[in-house]
Amino acid sequence: MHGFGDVRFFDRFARAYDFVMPSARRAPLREGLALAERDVERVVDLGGGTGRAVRALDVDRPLVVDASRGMLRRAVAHGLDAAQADAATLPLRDGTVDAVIVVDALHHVPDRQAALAEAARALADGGVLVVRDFDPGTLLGRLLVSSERVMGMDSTFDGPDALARLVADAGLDAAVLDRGFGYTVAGVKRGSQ
Amino acid sequence: MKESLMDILCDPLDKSELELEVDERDGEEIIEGRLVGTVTGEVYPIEDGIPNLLPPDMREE
Repeated sequence: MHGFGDVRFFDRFARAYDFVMPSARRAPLREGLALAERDVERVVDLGGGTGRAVRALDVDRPLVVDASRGMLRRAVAHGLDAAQADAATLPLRDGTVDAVIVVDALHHVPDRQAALAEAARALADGGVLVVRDFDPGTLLGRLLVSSERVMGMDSTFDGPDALARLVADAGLDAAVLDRGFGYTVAGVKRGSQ
Repeated sequence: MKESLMDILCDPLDKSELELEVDERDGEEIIEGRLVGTVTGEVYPIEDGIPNLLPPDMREE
């Protein structure tokens, strides 16, 4: 059902992470959030680590959720709310979140289907899920896949169309927003009426 | 964690409500304490302002 994935790696790596990783690309995330059919205030940065993605967005009520306590300490140091939790067993009430973003993180989640289902459950009607990840079908993507293996990570990468299908399976209205080495998939939770 | 987070947090195991017990706070910010599952009785510690809501079988200690 769930597991640690690469949590121990990130606990050790937290201090270096903000220096090594470029700041998350804002434009595709903003484009994804704009698909929401409600005001976007409460945003969960799932697998958000130090919170760098949600910090770049300047939203009203950010919450960083991650399994790695080391990464979350960095998020709190940046003034963000943080909760240590498993993506496949989210401690979030049904329909309480306006948006969930998962940036460069879903490939580290052991049970992606469960994580997407949990994100969909936590979204309010009209809320949106925005996932940015890397396409293993591109040249750079193949390089990333092999380098994460060399680092001993247990990551699994989906391409944009495969991920869009998983997002649709979670009950969201899915679309691929952009393609390339880094790509973006969004899913809107349509109301029952 | 801010106390207002209680509006969206729930027990990860069965999604039931949590009860907040505070040991140390700084205004709206809960620094130390615990969240207790009202149905499961599970205790989730809050340390250094971060609630640990991992399912019990995923905790490291």
